Amino acid sequence: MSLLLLCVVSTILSGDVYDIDTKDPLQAHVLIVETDQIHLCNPQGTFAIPDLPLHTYGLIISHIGYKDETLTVVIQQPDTIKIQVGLSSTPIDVEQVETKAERIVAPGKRTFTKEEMEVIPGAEKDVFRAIQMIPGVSAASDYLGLFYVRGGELYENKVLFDHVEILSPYHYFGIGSAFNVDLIEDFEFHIGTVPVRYGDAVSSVLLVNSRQADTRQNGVVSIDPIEANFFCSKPLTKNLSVALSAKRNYLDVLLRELGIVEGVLLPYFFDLQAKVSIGTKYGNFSLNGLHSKEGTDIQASFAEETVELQMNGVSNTFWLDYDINASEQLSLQTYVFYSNMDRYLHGEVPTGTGSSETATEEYDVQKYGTYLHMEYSPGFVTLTIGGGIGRYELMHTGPRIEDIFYKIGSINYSLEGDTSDYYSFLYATQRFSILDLLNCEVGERIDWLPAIKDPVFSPRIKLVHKKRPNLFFAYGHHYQTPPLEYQVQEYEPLKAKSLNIGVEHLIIPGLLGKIEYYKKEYENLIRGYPTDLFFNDGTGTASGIEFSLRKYRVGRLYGMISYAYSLSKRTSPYDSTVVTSDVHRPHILNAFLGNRLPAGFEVGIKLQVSSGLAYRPVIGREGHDQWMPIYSPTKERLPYYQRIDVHVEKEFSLWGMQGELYVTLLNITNHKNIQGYLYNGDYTLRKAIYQLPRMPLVGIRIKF
Amino acid sequence: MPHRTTQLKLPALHIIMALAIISLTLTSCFDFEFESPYEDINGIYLEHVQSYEYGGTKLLFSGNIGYLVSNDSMQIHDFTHVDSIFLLNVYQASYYISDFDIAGAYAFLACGILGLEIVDRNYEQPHIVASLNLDHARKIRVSGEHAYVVTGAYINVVDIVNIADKSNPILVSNISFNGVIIHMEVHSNLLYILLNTNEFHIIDVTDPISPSAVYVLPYNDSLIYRSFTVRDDYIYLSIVADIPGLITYRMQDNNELAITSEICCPGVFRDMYATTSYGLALTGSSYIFLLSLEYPAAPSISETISIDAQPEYGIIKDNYIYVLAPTFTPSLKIIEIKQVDQ
Repeated sequence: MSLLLLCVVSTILSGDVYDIDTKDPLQAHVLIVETDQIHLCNPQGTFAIPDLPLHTYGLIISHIGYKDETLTVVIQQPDTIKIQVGLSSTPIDVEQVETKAERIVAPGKRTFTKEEMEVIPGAEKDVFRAIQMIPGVSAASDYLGLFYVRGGELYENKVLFDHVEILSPYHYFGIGSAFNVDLIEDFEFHIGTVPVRYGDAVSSVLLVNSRQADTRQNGVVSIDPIEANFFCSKPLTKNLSVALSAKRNYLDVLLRELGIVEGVLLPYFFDLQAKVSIGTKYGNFSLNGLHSKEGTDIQASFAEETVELQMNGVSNTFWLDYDINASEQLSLQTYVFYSNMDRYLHGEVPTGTGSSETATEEYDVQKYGTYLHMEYSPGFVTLTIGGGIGRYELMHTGPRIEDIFYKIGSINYSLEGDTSDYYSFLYATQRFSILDLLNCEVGERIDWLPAIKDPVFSPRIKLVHKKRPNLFFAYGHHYQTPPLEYQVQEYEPLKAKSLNIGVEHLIIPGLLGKIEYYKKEYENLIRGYPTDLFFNDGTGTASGIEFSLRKYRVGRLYGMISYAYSLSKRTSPYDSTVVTSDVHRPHILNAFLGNRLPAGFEVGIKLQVSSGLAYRPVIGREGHDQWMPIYSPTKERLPYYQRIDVHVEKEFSLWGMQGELYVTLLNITNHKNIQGYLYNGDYTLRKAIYQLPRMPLVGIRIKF
Repeated sequence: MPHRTTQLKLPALHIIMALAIISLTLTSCFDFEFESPYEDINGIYLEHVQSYEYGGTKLLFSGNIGYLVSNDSMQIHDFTHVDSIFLLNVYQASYYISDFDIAGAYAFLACGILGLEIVDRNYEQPHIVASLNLDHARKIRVSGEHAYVVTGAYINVVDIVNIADKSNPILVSNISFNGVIIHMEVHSNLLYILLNTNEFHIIDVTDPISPSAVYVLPYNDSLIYRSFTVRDDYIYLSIVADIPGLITYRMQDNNELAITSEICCPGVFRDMYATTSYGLALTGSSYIFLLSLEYPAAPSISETISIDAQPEYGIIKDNYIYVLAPTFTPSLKIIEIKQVDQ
């Protein structure tokens, strides 16, 4: 106890509390012993106690993890007193607490919080880039957020936002995502044997969960060289809150004005998202909307020839969801949604004989429906039942624009389609324990897929050993409708059987290790082009083993390291042979490490090394009036991919608002990762197109 | 909890980090590279390197010695250096030489109405060894101990001659066709025949005395077969449909032909020649087409070159293409297959 005789009387007592070692501000409690009042410092460690009568006061300044400091302040006349109090840290004795709670092991489920997603170097706060850290997930390119899971195709992954399917979650093959990170709470990524609640996907399901209604007004404004972002959430009443977010990229303008990229106008996109949350005694309602718009005009020149590509697209998704906890044991969720997507693409490529070939593709999709999810947990068992019904409508004309760039066959083929149909599904799951050794989950899903007469059944089972290390086993069937543009003729649903065996062990709190072996068999895969006839009688297999070690973001140090070895083969589109799939990478090593340093710094470094993608090189040409490429019957592999990103951010305070300034350095070694090759018009020359070079990104976020 | 640090270290840490970030950021801004320079797809190109005034209709090689047939003479040249080819000797045949082949130490000449002449092709003293009267010998191919000669007033017969004893060739059998034979090849005991009636025959000549039909390509009235060449199990057939094309067939174990590739061509391939790695195609125009046979089931046009002549015959030896344009002077053109300096 110290006696502070100031002899300077005051009616306002203010001060700053800080960590005596690091000088960090502490949001401490200030207790005035005589009045028994407790005042809380603000986040800057400042307190102010007005209107104190003339007296001698004893103050106790306390903060968890620090030694209390006691002071005596004598106020003899009205004035202002400002004091500085430094607290010394002291370890907290915690008794060992034995817990009997079980850690829920969900084979095939990976989660990332919004905060974790924001600090992964190179992820650029994009959910599709963040999940590339998950073993088994790879991307086709640095430029694109499109993700491929265990050698599967892009369209074999489903993206849900609050359990509602988003038709167009990517902007232009994944340059950006449609989701604002500030509106996200976390995301779940289901890989392997997916819960029966989710269907119509044979590779994975990404479920992005929006943040819950805020109890106080807050917002974020952020800007970096790629995009500007705005988010605001405000509770209007005790039970009504609204959230609004908007973002727009402007990399197209920036790179062109800086002269860094010539002749290429990268795509722009704009996203607007809103959420109204209403709490009632009957349950919680939320009304959501996502509006996305994009456009581009690309002209690329090489060897005195020019390639042009124009794209425009608009998509909207609206949904209403209603949650109710009818009792401690029973909860219900209902969803009603509508979504549509319009896209226009026009391409022009040189033929090598002085002329150009043009093609136009138009795309119009609508999807709407409703479904119900119910969960009942009487204690010893958990039952889940759900079902839904919906309808989709598709209009598609023109060839696939990407094919004219590869000149696969004649570009004069086209998919003309105008189709619509209903779909519905039912599912049920039961979770229970067996002999206090195993947690078992058994489920069945029935789908009535569009344009398929008979229903398809998807049984799924998961077994998890309760005791550490947690051994697990999962097996399931999955069905999926082909991409909408393929549904213009009769087809069979894609089918996958997946088997997952592994072990997961929480080594120490916050440190999770996992080894998993998987095997998948595919049937009815899409194959066959360039004619206007697609077959879906392809087959494929995927198998591999994945190791991962993850330190969760508790404490200062966090990170993850993973290695995946896989083998994926699919029926070739050219013949009936089974070949390595195009998006398959046999070896993938990912590692990132982050550290929360003193003084508001946070740093992170990420390493990615993987096998190059398989591709078919052009070995020659054919042609009469124009040259066409001839591709090698066997695939080769691009050189290995390597990239190291570094991220540094610093918190700061400005005019009472919190902010973060960050710098990300992408590909600091400037490794030339080859994206692919571009050929001239007569297919005698080619040049490598590189992925991202060493590139800095600087941004700022202000929270209000 | 953070360790106690002195007040001096933290500012230094901030400064060091800031300087590192600024310097890396600045250097990053000057190092954008999205594309690489162009590179040749296959790493080769064609260059016309030499011309000679050597007239002729066909050229074959044995090592560095080249045998060039022109009218009734067979010229023997030294091709050791393509820049300085010189004549070694000349063999004068009894009649106009329609076609010839070489095997072992001998040359086998199809001499029209006079039939077959077997010549010791020693370049120091080439001389006739034997002859055999045949009815208008027009084309000849030698395989093993037999020569296969296209004969007949209607050019529709293949005479099979036993040449085991070079001094005593013996006619052992013949095969007649219902059409004019426009091209013939022999490989691995199979005789390949293309007729002007748009028929393509494959005949097993394992027993030359009793040759047996193996396969006949079904007649197709929507396309016309123009020529072919054979490499191992693959047959490259030049066709004309709506547009010229090249179809690749592969002989299956059940003696059926299966199509492995169909490509469009800039012109009709009238004359073709195949080696292990390359194919050569002539259209009768000034363009020469080098085909890549790296994947024999999927040939592709690799390189093209235009020369100041219209070659009617061509052959590839090592890294050189030799073409003959009999109606032009000079008539022997040599094109080199060169590596691109990347």
